[in-house]
Amino acid sequence: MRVRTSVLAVLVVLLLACSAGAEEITVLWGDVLTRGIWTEYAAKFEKETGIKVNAINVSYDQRFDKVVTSAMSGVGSFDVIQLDAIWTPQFAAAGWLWDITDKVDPEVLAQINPAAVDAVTYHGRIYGLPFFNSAKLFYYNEKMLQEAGFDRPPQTLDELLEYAIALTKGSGQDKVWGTVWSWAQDECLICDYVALVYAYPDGEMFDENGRPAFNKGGGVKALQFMVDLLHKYEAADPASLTFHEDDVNKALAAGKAAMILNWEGAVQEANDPATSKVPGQVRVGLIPAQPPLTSSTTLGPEGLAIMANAPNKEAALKFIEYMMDREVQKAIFVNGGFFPVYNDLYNDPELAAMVDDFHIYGEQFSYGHSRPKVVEYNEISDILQLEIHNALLQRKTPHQALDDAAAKINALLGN
Amino acid sequence: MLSSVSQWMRKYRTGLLFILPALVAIGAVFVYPMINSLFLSLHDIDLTKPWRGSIFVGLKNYRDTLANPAFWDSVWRTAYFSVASVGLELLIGFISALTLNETFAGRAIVRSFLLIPWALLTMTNGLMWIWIFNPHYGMFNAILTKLGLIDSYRVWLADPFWAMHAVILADVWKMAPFMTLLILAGLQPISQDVYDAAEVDGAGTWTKIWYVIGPLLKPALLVAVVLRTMGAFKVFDIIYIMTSGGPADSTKVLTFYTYEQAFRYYRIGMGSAVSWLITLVLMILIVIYIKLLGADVE
Repeated sequence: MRVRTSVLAVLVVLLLACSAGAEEITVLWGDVLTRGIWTEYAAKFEKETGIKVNAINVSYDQRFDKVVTSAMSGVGSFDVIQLDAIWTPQFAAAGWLWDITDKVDPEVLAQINPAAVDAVTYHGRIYGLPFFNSAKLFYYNEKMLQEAGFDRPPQTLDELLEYAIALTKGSGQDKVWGTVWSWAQDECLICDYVALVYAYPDGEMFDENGRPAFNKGGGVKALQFMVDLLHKYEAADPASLTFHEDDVNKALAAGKAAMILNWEGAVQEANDPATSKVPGQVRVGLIPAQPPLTSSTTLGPEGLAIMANAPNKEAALKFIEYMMDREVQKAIFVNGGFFPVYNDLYNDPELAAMVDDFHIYGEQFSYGHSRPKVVEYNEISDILQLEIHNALLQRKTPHQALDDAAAKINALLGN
Repeated sequence: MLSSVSQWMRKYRTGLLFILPALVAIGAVFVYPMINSLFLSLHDIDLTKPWRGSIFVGLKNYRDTLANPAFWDSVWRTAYFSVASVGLELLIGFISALTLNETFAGRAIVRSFLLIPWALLTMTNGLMWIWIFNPHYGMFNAILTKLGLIDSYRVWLADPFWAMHAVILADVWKMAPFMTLLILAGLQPISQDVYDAAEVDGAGTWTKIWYVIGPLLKPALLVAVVLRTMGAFKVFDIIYIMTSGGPADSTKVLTFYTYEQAFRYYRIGMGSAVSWLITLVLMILIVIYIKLLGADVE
């Protein structure tokens, strides 16, 4: 009897000791394009606060699946999640995110780019802290352009076409494509399409009443431009139909693409001698647009949000505040190429000195357009992806494909 | 003669206690979710509109699904995938099983190599086949060019027709060994006497296979075909990895449709209904198989 009691006592003490240990949070994000810099700062946070950070890296699609599974099952697997702008309406409406409107300092928010704040807001409530600003940019291989006789990047879509035709050369293993795109049947297709739609003065995705407007004006012209690049002028790699954003960056870094559209980080990857066949040749520019427009792009800011079923909400809040700290944001930009959320950092001379063509990044944002902020976004995107693919595969004309998409979307939204 | 349940329970008390943990586990992981899912399929639930709660709609989800052309497109694609995959696997499995049943030097090694594709993770297999079908560096393009079958490299996964067949090929390569294994196992009990007797009666190779071995293999074939058909109907990973359902929905099979309804559009009731429809189709298929293959097993 005595032996058993003492064993019990030891076990109880051990148990108490374990539970009184350090706080721990689980963070779900994709620290790949940023090449580990986020994880570095998570480790710094751990040192400073003693809160252990268990950071999990997954791809974009996996991140969505994991969050949805955790939320639906009610099991609080994650405290902090990296939240894409297009997910905010769905997750917030479903009640899966912790509403932190009352815990945020409005003065700090005022210093932050409105698009980044908008990305974590739904119906006036705030569901996360902005983590990075993001937009599609134009990247080009300067050496290839110069060799083809172009001394500056294209500024209009007509010039883009002209350049693309001239820069597509070679055959077989040596073939270089004027343009390579991320046109796999996935969200990446919509991101490219939206940027092109708004590159036309008469292009818009949805009108003021929330009804599809992409099946007229710029919307149709953009899709026609994509189809012609592929089939009429053969100035876009047909493999684009199977590419996601990573594949496009790889094509650029392998010297197989002269011009691409992509999110941030492409210059870092393409100019790194360790991973690139064309180090030092790649520069960033503004996405070309039809006059009188200067440029156009798709916005994709992301935030760090706390799940409603998070086990350690307060510790998680400290973490996301830390990652939004000005110095951390600066370091992430310099090392990872991801954009800080503070407006004034785009005029920071220190950063300008460290990064080539720094002013472009800030300027591109001013031409940014968001995708529709509705809870039905996934289905709208899927409908558009299918019909755009139908046009790119020449199974339907661009006008027919977009009309069909508009009809389906109207039916979905009950218009 | 036991006259009441309580008497029965008392008699088998020890046995019941032993299997109780397993029963609880099965109940929690299988029985409860099945019943819950059936219950959910009769409701209209939209997780992005939680204030609506779950609204009872009877069989509306089922009716709407059956009226949706996108659903039927998925069904035909899944059927095509299953028939092609299982058919090819059966053919390859049968031939390789007959071959491996013969005695030859190194047979043990060949048999173990055979299992390697099956042992691969589906994700790994998918990634490997993406590289094989790569439009610029892929082995598939290289070999076909060298054989003179094509004159320039093609983007296989961007073609609606070829994407489906690429996925089928990837799946068959991985799963054919499984068929081989099952059929090989089914060949073991057939004694040499049967082959000898057939030869004495003047049977050629083809006659031996079709009229002698074939019927004796029916139980093994039944198991193999049922298992593989269920597997093919549920295919998801390999397609998710290789094509994400594209290009232009050409590889969007039933599982994708269900996944979209439940996890992308948050219509849990609808997703559950589609899952139950798939289950029903599979149950019908299995009954057909049993009738065809299981009937005259002696």
